[in-house]
Amino acid sequence: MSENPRYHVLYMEDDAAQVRLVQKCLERMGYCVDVVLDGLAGLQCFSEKRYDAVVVDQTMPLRSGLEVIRDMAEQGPLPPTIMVTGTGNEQVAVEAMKLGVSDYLVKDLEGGFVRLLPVTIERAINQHRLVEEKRLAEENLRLFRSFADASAQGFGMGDFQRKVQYVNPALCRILGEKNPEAIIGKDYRDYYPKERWQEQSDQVWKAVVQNRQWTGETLAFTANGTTVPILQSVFPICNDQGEPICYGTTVTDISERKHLEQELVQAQKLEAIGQLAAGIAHEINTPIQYIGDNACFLQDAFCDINSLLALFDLLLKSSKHGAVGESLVREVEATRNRIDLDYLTIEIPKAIQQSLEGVERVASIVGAMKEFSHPGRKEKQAVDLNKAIQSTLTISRNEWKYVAEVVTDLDPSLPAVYCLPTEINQVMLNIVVNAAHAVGQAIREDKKGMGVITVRTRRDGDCVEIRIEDTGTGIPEAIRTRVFDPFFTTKDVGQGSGQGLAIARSIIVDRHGGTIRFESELKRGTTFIIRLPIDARTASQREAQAKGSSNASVDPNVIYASPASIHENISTNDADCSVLTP
Amino acid sequence: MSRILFVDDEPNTLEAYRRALRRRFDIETALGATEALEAVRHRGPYTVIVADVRMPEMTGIELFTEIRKTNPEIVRIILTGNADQQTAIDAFERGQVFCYLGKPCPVKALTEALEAGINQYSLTQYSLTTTISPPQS
Repeated sequence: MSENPRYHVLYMEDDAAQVRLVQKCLERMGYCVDVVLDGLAGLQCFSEKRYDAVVVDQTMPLRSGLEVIRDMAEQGPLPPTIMVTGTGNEQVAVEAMKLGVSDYLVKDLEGGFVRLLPVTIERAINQHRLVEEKRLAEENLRLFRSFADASAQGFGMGDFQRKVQYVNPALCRILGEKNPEAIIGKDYRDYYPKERWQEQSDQVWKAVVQNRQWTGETLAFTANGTTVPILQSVFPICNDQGEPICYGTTVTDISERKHLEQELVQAQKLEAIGQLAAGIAHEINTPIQYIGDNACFLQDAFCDINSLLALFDLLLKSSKHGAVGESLVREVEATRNRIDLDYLTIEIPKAIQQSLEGVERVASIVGAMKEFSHPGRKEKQAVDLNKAIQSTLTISRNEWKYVAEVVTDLDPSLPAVYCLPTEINQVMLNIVVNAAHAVGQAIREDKKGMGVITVRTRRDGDCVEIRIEDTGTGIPEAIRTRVFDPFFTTKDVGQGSGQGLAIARSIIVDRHGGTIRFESELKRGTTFIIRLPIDARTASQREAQAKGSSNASVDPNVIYASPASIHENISTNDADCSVLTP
Repeated sequence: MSRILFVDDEPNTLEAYRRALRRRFDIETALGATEALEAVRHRGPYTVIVADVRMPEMTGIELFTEIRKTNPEIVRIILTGNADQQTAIDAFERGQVFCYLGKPCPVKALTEALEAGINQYSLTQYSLTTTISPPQS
């Protein structure tokens, strides 16, 4: 008893001698005893103080033990309560037990009950504690069940044989099953797309067996045969000794968020194209203007030459008859001078040549636009980044040509990179347009001459590095940490929504597992450095594409502007350094 | 024939203007604003000057503002692929242009605009002469 906390016992007994005996005995055992000599006083104490146990004698003045117990029971569940009686009336015993009394002792003349009482009290307290614990545990369990049932977040548990032990209704819904019973006992790998599981089993399973937590975005394979993007956490559940006994998981359906992200990327792309539209119109209208003028000139020139040809016909006929009139020769000469044949013979080929150049120019702009804005497949494909960069430079030419010279230093041996081409184009465009704006601002502020935008590509191990360097204003120290934040912009209203770099970051980091960072120096310029893994496909995609066809990397829907048509001044042959002059 | 100066940053465009209009007008060209200012200073006089808006060095509107200081009599026409409203407003307000044409502009429309410009030039010349030398009493 000594190691136990001191239990408080309320003892109701009218026999003073008995009280002294029992009190002494209990206090020797370490109990703290309050004694009352009648039932009413007992009830008074009971309602004022909390007792670990109550001992009640049946025969008491004012109120009998049974009446006291009945009154106590009305106030709530009884504490461990022991009834003591001198008579041993069975009727009383039964009723007391019904009211929730823990034990019933009969006083004997030898005083054996005094020895028995402490043990009985302790047993009653222990049992009462066990019952209480069980009740609390059940209540907690019910609470957690209701919580899990009501949650929109999916919960689940599984054992180390990869069998599902528990799923809540939300997880059941996400997995497309009607009720949890359909899932419990199954191998949880059934609920991942097979190829995805191969990719992720290592990291997830490693985390589970290493007693770590894993969180990531992945795909769930539902009972309907569809896949759902989910955000999942997997974590071990341990016993009191800290040993994992099973593992738990939380699952959130993120298809709505994914959808919104996709829409945001698309919206930003449209915004970027919208801002380019005026520039592109200008780029197209210029060649259209001179093609039209040249066609007009050629039309007139043909009329002139035709009139001369008519005279030449006459000349031919006359010479056949052996009589060429002098007046005819004079007329031929006069017409020849009037139409300025020498000028026409020089200018007509030039007009044709330049018109063809113009047509090619328009075709390359339209081609680059088509490549840029092509809705694209959802899968990654092999892309020649050098070509993609040149297309982007072509459609954005009007943004930079008045402020900067663009120098491309593209690695001719750059391998094809598995990526989402339209999204990578979008990133390139956002950064090039930003670079042009920064250079333009630097020119206005410092009255400098034309700036330079340099685009470089290099292979670096398993990655490709793209560097876009400008001689613009640089990014002020104070805002460097914010440039990738959504809606952060330093541009005037209507000049940009502040999505460009946020989207770029999302595309490079989230969709391609690459990195994007920048180095900047005020008044000197900024360099954005993008690193993309060359092959960011999953093993199964790789397999599927290899099986698909030998030309799987060629997407018939993507039309790349042929290198020669990008721009007359870009030399894309073996020289790996070229300059686009404005 | 009236002398017309075309200013653009695209050589093909300038050559095409010259070819298409050579019969009706005396066409000269300048590749960019600097060359244009040079031409006005040393190779004038010109009746009409036609310029693009967006050019490196200096925009067409800025060029017109400059030319207006020394040669206000030259009739100024904008011919541009930038058909936005703000550019047009700027051209009329700051460049005091006679006419604003969008690319692509058909030869016929361009010819008409040039003829109207020449007409405008002779009108201003006439009023100038009459104001400067009033009839002697």
